[in-house]
Amino acid sequence: MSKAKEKPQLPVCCGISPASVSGSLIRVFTSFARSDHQTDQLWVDLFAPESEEDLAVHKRKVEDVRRWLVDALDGGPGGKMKKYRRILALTGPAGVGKTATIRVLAKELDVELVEWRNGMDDDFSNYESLSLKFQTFLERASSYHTLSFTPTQVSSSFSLSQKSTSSTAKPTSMAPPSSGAATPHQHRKRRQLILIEDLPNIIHHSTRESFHATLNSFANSAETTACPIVFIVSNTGSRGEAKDERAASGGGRMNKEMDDGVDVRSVIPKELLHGPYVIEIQFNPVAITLLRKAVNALLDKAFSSSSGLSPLQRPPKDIVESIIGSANGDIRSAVMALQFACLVDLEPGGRGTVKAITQREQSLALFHLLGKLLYNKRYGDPEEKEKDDVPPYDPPKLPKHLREEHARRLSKVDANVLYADSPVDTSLLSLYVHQNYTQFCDDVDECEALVANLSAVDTIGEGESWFPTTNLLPHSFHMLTLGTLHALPSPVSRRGQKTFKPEFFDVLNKTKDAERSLDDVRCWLEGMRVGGSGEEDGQDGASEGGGGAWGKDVVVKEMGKVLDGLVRSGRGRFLWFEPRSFKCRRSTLENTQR
Amino acid sequence: MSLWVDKYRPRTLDDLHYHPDLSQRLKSLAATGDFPHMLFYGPSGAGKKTRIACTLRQLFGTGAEKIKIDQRVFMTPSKRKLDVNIVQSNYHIEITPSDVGIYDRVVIQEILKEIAQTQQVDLNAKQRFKVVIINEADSLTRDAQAALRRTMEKYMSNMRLILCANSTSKLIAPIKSRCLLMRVAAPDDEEMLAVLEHVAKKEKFHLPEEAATGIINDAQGNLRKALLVLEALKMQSPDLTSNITIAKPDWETYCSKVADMIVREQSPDKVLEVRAKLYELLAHCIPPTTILKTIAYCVAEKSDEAIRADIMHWAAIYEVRMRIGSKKIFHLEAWVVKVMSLTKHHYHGISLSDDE
Repeated sequence: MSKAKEKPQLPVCCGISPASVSGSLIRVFTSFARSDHQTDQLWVDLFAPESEEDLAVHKRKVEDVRRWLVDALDGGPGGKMKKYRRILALTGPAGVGKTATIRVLAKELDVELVEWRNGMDDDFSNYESLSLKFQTFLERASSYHTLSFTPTQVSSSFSLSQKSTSSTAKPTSMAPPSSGAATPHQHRKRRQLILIEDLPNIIHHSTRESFHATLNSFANSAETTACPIVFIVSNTGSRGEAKDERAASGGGRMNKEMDDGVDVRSVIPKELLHGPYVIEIQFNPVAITLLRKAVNALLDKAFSSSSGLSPLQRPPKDIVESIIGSANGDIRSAVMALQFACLVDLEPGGRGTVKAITQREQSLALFHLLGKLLYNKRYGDPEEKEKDDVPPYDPPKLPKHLREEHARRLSKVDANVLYADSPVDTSLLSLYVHQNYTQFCDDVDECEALVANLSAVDTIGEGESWFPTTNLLPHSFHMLTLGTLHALPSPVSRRGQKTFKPEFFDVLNKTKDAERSLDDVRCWLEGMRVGGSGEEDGQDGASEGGGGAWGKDVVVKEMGKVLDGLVRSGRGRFLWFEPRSFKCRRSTLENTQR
Repeated sequence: MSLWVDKYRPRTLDDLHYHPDLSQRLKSLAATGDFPHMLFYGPSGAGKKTRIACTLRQLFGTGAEKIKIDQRVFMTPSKRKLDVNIVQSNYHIEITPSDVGIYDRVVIQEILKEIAQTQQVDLNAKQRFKVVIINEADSLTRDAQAALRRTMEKYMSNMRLILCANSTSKLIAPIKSRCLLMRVAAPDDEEMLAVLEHVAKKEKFHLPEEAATGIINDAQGNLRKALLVLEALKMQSPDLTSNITIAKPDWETYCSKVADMIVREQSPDKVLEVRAKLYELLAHCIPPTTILKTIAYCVAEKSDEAIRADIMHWAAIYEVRMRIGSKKIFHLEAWVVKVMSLTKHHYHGISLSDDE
């Protein structure tokens, strides 16, 4: 054990200083590379929000977070809430101001943020695993305070008085100066908040387990002096086709479970997330109005005379607007795009360029995607009387023998775009289509073509690989969408269709329940066969075999009536299912309780 | 107390009521000491498992009948835990792979490895090998079947496999060629009658002839079903008078209702209604292939002869797809809609030709 380990270190250092060192290295490097000109710094950093007014977050959200923080630090009314305000999870898409909100509020409430950073050890002699480090980080950060090395905080009346005399010629008194230098007494009272944005590798199974264990013990520890944790988890909307492609590239089915990306449910253990110690606050994408306000304020600030950006041109309004429009509620990307637009000379009509550069990948909402598919819009639909209702090109003619049955007008839906934008994988999408398609068909024949296609898609999907089908997997999305579009009538008659979530999963759960009770019944039968004879003192006590175990199918298909009879005659000690209604098949086995 | 099916199950090869030549063959096989891997196949309720149990007794003596049920835990590669009930004696172990779904390969491999690596320790044992019985072998996934074929050769010295399946068509050829195939045909009516009367005699009641024929007709060669129905009837009306009716299982009546719906009206809304019923059946653990088969028979009965062949053709196609794919409801529904479409066109065509 090295000495350093035994000593309480300053928490930031426990939080793997190498990373922060390298972070500062990067900063040094960039500052080395840049000229003195301020324009080379990223605006995102340069104009980071400093007060609540600067935040492009809805007031109520900020208020929610603030209330939590105040409760966590002061204990709320009566001081009782402190116990339950251990962990706060801020979730939402990237660039909506989660971190900014916390930083601003921390400043406002005068709370010190202690951050965790993943880092690499270059010293392998006393190697400590990352999860262990995280654990010690939490322990230390919550019980020790940051050491300060800045001379102002090493309080000596001399430096204090010197400072105050240098700033203003006020006579020295016991009153602390209003500048950043706090008195030692105040410093000790300065409260802390642990901010966790960078997570240990929780995709790895055992790392996640130890991470969860650490969190659990943190939340359940009775110590109320410990400081609260704030998690910031960006929703990385896992994109549908990633799984398909991975499977095709030979990953196989083994890593299916690793596919669910990082979201709040994998970060924080389930029982904790629903427990009293954790509160989740969801951030929404920044509204257009808020975004516009923030961007304009930023531009005003940037191009005011005081800042050194004078050589740059303020971008014209239409470019700003198009940036705001294409930012998709992501203020970080908007600011980045803005800076870009200022640096590069754009010709007046350069909207296209801006759009191409700034628009980040966005995913369609699931039901939007579903609507696109199921409404099956094509060029030349009767109710569309718009100017862009002219096909951009003439689709190639089908050969004669196919024309009668398969000729369609050109579709307005581009399967490739859908593929890129789909928020779900093909398998889930097919379930949604399956649930809803009947409303959009006028005729059984259309249904037939559609569902036949669904069935075909399922066979090249991820079922049991009787045939080497995995190579086809990436094509299943196109097959699904194009097949669906082809089968649907055109135009789809509008009659106020409502799309629903698939029943499939409910049924699956029910089936699993039924299977469980079925297993109970089979166990009971087995017990009756093996041990039952001894009980009834009719035969020899030996457990006798003969025949195999009761198969599932047999019990389901053939035994209904007998079991019914057993129940009615009182011989069976369980309820099989209500005979006529075909309803309940739950068994309450007294047998198993004994 | 056990069910009659269990209570009066023949214990030895000599007790078996029918297929005497088969029993003879099994007996001589067991006597040679060069017992091969075996595959019993035949329709359900024909007596495959009974014959396997009798063969085991022939091989190992009464020790094979002393069975116990173990609960074992297996770990899949993705760290999911599987609880499996395993029936075993000192000489054999019995597994039903369909209990564990798609993870059957893991379970089969684990068990076979374990059995194969342990020698028979019982010095009094008649045979040097242990037997692994795999029930419902036709529901083994392809992976599991592939895993079997190598093991079957490698561990021949201290392990024998007995597979039990309804049909050999779902087993891969390498497995079939490594086994001695043993077909157990369904008993004919007289043989079934003999068994039923045997049971009635043991239970000391008189079995009226009409009831017996009713049961036999209903069972269609499934002796287990016949015995279960007999016991159910006996519980219902102890004197088994002639006016009792053999009620169909609930799921069958339900299936025939679905068939009615398909034949009666063909529209997208009806598709939705049928789907709800199909979901209901699936939620009650009725195997999807059985659903498809039962409904197909009902629909074919109710449809015009001209389209019957097509109905069955598509049922066959979608059954295969069901096996390959993962979402059973898609394929069931695809078949239903196909039949609807066929029916509609058929009657549409007829009414047109009538008009002319």
